[in-house]
Amino acid sequence: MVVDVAFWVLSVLAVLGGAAVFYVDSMARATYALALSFIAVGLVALLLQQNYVGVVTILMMVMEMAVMAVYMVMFMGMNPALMPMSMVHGKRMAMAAAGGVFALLASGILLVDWPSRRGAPAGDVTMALGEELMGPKMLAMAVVSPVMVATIVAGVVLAAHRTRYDRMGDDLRRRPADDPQPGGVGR
Amino acid sequence: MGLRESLARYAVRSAHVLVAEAPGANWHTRVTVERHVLARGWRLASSPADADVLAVCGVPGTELAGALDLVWDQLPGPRSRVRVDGPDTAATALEQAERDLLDESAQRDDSRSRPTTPDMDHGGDGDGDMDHGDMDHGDMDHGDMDMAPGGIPLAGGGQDRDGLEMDVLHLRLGPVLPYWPAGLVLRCSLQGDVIVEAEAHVVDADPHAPHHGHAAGPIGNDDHDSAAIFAARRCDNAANLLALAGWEEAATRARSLRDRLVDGADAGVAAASVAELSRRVARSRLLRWSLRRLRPLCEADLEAHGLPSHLLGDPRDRLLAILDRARGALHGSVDTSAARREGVTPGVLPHLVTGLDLATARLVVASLDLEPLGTSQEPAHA
Amino acid sequence: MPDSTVTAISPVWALAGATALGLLVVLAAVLDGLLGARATGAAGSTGLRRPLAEATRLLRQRRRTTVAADRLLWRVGGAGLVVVALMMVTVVPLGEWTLLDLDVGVMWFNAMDVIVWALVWLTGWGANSANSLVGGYRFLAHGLGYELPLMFALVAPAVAASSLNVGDVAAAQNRVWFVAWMPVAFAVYCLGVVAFSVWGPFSPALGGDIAGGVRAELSGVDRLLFDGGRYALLAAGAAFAVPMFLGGGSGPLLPSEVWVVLKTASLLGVFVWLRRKLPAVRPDVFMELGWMVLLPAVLLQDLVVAVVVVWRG
Repeated sequence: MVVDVAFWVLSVLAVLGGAAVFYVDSMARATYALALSFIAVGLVALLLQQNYVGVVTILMMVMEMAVMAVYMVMFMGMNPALMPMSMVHGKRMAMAAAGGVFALLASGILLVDWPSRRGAPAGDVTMALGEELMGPKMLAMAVVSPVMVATIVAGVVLAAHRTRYDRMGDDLRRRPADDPQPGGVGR
Repeated sequence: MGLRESLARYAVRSAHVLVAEAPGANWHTRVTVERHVLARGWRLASSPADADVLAVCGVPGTELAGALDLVWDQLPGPRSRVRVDGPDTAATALEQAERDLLDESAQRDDSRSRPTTPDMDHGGDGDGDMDHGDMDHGDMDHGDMDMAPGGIPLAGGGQDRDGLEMDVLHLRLGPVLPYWPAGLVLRCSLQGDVIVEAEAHVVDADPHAPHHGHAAGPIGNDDHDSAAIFAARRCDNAANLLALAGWEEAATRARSLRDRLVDGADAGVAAASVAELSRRVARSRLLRWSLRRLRPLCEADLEAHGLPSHLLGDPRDRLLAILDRARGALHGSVDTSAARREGVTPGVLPHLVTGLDLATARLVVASLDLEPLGTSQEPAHA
Repeated sequence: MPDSTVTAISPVWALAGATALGLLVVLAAVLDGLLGARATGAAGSTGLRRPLAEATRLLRQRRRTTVAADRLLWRVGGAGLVVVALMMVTVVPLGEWTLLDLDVGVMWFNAMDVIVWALVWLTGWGANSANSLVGGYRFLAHGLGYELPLMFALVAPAVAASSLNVGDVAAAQNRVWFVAWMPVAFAVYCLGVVAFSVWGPFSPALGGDIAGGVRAELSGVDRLLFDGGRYALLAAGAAFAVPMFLGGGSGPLLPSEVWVVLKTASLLGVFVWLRRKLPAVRPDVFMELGWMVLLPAVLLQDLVVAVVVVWRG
């Protein structure tokens, strides 16, 4: 009973948090409304007894929102956070697309003949999850993360306007590197 | 004695004092105030929001008085403002401050008289440039966008050191700032926290006075100061730099050395303590790593800006040089009056500070070992 | 899954847990006050009464706000630190009792310390002040350097105990404490605790050069909550180190509850003592250190632990 009430409260909170992202007029509030929505989803996962998934969702999403604050200032300056701005663009098209997708998904959920459950969940859900990931899917899991990190790093390197030739001279031999401010390890 | 009074008494046992020093001959006063504050178990405040007492050392000129009023407005209640004219009045001034803080009815009247809406006349130094840069206005709804939220105009954008288009913020460092030379004002244009432009002047500068070209010492009695006072000033500057570098223990040691020298400690013993501190500082690898390669000054730089030779190297070298000069003065091997004359003018600061971020700029300014500034400097730009 | 060695107790005891954390906070503040008084030459008694005097002063002080401050986010940031510290402590077992016997207790602690990122930045941003914003971003810069090494340092005891449950990790140290053969992980963990409490060498976010940084515009009860939250985080981090690296409640003579408290208090004392002894680590300089030195070191540590576990089992 308590679990049911908690589930509904958290779900409503998640949806409202997501909606608030577009309703508020400051980037920082939008970021943290999104964080609130994700935390609610993580708590719902905890209620479904998926402890690991729930906690990891909360952890990663909050860290992402904090990092988003760094990107926000880097690319947009502080104005979007302070200046009341509208978060919605191209309203008509977005409304049409959102309404259409919602109708499609809702009708799918309600009309599809869902199969009944076969068997019972494993005794140790986390262990089962771990074995599933480390077993047949291990290659995918192990490769996905480094690829993502490499993409991010490559994107930043491509965007930076100082290359390593600027830093270390044409023969890449100048040490310490010519940085406006030195880093910590003296590279 | 009701509960409220005893609680107030308990609260005042741990008051925080914001010390503001007027430029001129007030170094001694400020040092004495700091000693008394710490001896009572009180603490020195780092910002007006943290402070209960505003202690003004010396007689402020008009510009400084304006700045002090701004700072006074920012103190949350209960608050007290005292003026300390000389070192001997420091203790009584602090006791007066304590009595003010305990005076409930006066504090209540004070809080009632404060405005509840901000006074926007003092508004920031921001220029009201409403340039939106490359924002795509396309189908964005501008209907209810407020171009000056809270009455403060938005910052404009500009290219910065790293190729990002960061907003330009105008920030003033000083004149009331902990670990900062008294009376110095550095107006900075910041992008992010990198200083892109700066302009330095000393408050209540007399624009008609001839430009001396060197830092004039405090007006009046400086030439009669002994080697001990010279060494004490060096220890004070070293303590500021160590406090800015975050090393509280060393900063406290330097500060207590300064106090002992002001009291007239034996030169030999004091020199040994300075040497001990110098050894400790030199041994610290974390400090070396933290301060390394921040605006290092080579001989060419010193020539170009007309700086004395003991400022060679990076801030750590300069810190060790400060302590060496202190020790030298106590041994009698440093000519203190000559050293005082070849000090650093505020005019060179903007050149040294542009391109650095706030933390580094503060460290560099502290490492320049500025003599207490007189009020006959001309403003200088960069 | 092996039977848990701790028993969850009813949430009514949460109040007792909060009180215990509060006492640790007072202890840390008293120690800090004593060390400060000794350093500045004031009487020792001023140090002893510092927490109470400071709290009374802050409660008596009025709150303040700035123009166009984002009040909601600002206050949430300041007040949230204490809440997060309390949540961290719920998974620490006191002897055989714990408030929350979560099978992913280690991840829970990790999630809570990441929430600190958000809270400190919000406090810095909400004040609409240049100094506090610079402080908030300094904290994020430190965070980018210490967080990944901290996460991998937490992985090491979990791998050695083959479980993410804090009680299991404590129980797996019945022969030798983890700190003995995972010193790198312990050192990085302690660094992480000091860093997320914005303490000591990691306090440039509250630095004197930016007028108190994140705290620049806080006063009154907001400042009390923020500073109290920092002490509470330090205490919670010290408390969590006990089951993770210091053997839980194991020890001769005294009951396990007392040992947990003793170990926590001593580690907390070391943290408090460290504050004055070390210069501050600049954020821009630390980031490179965190990624180029700390992260590979902790990864190697994890490799060593994994090899030992596979060889043993």
